[in-house]
Amino acid sequence: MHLSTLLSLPASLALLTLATVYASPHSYTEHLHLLPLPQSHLHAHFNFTATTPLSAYESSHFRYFPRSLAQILQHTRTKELHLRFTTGRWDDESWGARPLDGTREGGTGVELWAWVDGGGSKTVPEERWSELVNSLSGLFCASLNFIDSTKTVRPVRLFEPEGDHGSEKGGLQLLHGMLPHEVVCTENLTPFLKLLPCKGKAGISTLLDGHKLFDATWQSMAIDVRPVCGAADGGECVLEIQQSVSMALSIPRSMRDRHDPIPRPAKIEDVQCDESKPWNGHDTCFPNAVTDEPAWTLSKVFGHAAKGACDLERNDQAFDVTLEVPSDRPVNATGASELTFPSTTRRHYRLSASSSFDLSLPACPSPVNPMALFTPPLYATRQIAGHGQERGSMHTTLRNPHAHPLTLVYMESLPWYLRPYMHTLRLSNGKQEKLYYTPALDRERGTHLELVLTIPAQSTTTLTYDFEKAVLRYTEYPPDANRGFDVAPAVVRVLSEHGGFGGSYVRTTSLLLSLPTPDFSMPYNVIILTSTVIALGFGSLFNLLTRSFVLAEEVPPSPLAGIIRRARDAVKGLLGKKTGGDEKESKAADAQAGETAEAPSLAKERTDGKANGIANGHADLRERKARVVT
Amino acid sequence: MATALGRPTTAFTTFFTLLSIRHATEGKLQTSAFALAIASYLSLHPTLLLPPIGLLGYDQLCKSRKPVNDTDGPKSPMRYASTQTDRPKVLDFGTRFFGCFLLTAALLLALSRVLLPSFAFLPSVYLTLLRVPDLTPNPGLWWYFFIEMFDPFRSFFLGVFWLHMLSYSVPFCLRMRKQPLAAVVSMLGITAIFQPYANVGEAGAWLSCLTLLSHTFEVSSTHRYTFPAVAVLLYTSLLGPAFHHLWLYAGSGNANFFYATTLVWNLALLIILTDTVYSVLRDEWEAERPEGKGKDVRQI
Repeated sequence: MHLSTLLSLPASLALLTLATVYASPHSYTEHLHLLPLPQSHLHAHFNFTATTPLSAYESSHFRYFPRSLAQILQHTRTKELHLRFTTGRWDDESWGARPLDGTREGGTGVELWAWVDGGGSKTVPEERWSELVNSLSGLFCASLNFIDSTKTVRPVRLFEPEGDHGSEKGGLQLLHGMLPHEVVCTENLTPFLKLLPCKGKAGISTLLDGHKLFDATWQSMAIDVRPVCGAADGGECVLEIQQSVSMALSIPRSMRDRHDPIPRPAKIEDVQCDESKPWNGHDTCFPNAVTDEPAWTLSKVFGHAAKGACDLERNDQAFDVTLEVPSDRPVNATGASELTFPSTTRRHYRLSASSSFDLSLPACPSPVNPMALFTPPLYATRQIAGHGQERGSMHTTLRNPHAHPLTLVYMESLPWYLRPYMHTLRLSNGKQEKLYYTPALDRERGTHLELVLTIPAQSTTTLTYDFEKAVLRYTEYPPDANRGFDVAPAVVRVLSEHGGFGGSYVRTTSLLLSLPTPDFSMPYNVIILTSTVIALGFGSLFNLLTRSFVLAEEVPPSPLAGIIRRARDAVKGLLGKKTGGDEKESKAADAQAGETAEAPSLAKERTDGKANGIANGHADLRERKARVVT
Repeated sequence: MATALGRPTTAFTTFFTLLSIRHATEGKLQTSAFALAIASYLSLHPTLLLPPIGLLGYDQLCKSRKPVNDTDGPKSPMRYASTQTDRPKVLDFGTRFFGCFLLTAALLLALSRVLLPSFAFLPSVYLTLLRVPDLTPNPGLWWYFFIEMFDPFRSFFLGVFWLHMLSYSVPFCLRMRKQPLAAVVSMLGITAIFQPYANVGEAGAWLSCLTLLSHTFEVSSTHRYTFPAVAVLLYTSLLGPAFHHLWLYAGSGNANFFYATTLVWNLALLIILTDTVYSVLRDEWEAERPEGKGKDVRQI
């Protein structure tokens, strides 16, 4: 079986001489695209694509496709997978449209969506999804296992399958989960690199270093697995895995030496002052914005030069690195051969396996005709408005800079402790075509809100709704409870004008939601205080209900009352001995007065409370006897 | 007024509860059971008033069947000594009352089922009242307790709290057999203090119902702690909203401030409740032993 497959490979390659890369059964390509951005940033997009024929995939014969991921996909019957790890924020205003129209990036943290073979039931895809997130969590050292039913939604119009599923498409179900609180770092990059055939040891993947990648202003690691059935290769479908790392890094920041990362101010002679400011003088300086293109070297920006090349299954026309700079910018490349193409702004280089590749660009004044950046299809921002920890409101601003109206799909997946009031949903200056809404159930699922909107040309639309915040239980708060909870970013898909397939994606930033916190130091105190109040009430009511009233003199005195009375008498006797003569006189007066003299002192004792009930009783009895007698 | 300030939806429940009490005092047991069933359908706890209101209705039926020569009339309206043989049968009365209650409740639930797609509303509406999943701060005792409770002990303490609250209904009826209206009012007080989603409206409704027992307050020996309790109530009703605002909006207070205020509020209500029960029982005893009026008593 294996031998026949191996023998068939060169045969098929011989047939496809000028075939495009993706249709070749077992193939692997990698590519790096470098584009300097305004404000001293550099956009680097690494793309690693491997394919395997579906027949080889199903018989577990893997060559360039990573086996660990394939086994997870086979076990959970996942037909198409998209996984994203993102940190930072892409600055739309300065850098223009997102790379690849936002199709290879995700929201802050981890975003995962997959088409799972449903088997026709409702619960089977959820079980398979749960297995998928747990297995991926182990593979990528990320806490993807926290994507449970409270964070999973089923988008309706937001995503379309990118692969060719043929007849199976009806049975597939789309599940989507986001973890905005996830911190993406080197432990996620290492398994990512291990999925590559060259495992980060040769080729452009050597440039990927955790120190530089996670120091970037924006970075996104993406893994996309999809089946592709090209028409050219006679109906054989291949399974393609595209791994991409897209980053926008700040050149001066990345060029800082790793062993001395402290930023130091430039020498005052090198700083250009803005002379138009009124306070400009010899000792006050407002620096001009730097518009010159800085000098940078690939090895300084990424830490080291690209070593070797990972060339497996390539044709002579393939190239590894593309640099997109104006044609008048001088570039010095070492260790690679340059391929010439008619395009004037792109330079292509092909790495060689035996040398390391380095690019260096000297500084150059701001160019006369700068590279045109594409206007993004939409500018989207979202904030939480309101004050206090009981309620708030969500406020999204969508701005259409183009001269034609836009139709877009806006999706939000909210946690269950953020309870939106849908009757307060307001859309200004736009039209709502459709609303898909799944309400939240406490501790079971979150809110799924999906809107299809139309925004007129060159206008701004505002979407607002009010919400209420829930109070959570003690154990549901994270250790840093006062930081707040992260709300997943909203995903916007701008539908293309012709309708149908494709579209560009724009994501807002994630939000921080502060919930009211109890006092975490007091569980025991709260329990005993509340129990005390309840016990007081219960005890008093129980006593009242189960005991009957009697007059105080009808009952024999309790021993406790007698003890207290004797103790009180003893104390009074002690005090009387100290005063001496007064006591004798008062005693004589008492003896003379008889009953009536006893009454006041006894009456005094009566006010001391119930314990002297017997004294009161005796006084009453004597009074009554006196009355009866008289 | 407290109900109007608090704006809870229990205003409807309170309305139907009071309607039920009123019809019971008039001896109309069917309408009383009907109103009580509506109140229970809206919030679950008026079910606890079933024994006291049933007792009240039975007593009124007994009274209404007494011969005309009974002269006890206006002086002690709650007291009677019915030894007539034409007293309505307890079993007959009981089945009619409870049957009417259950029938109305079933009718309302069936109506809800007709309007809604499935029976899933039953756990959503009634199980949430029993299991207390939502812990929004309210002037009750339950919310902070169950916020700070660890998960393994949650069901145990839920059971304890509910058992405690349920255990007052029948004893009040047995003890205040001769004054069922007092049993009803005391039971209203118990639910106002101890129910999971307590609110100011129910407490206000109960405090106004205390006027039904005003005859017991005339004797000065009966109530012991009125001034402290009312003062504390006033004090906490002013501090409660202040601390709530301080915790949630100003951010300078803690949850403990508001929690302490709710503890003191409930303590004041409890003092008023025990005082009322004491005064009712004392009044009953003094009516039997007139020489004990104003005297010190002990309980054994």
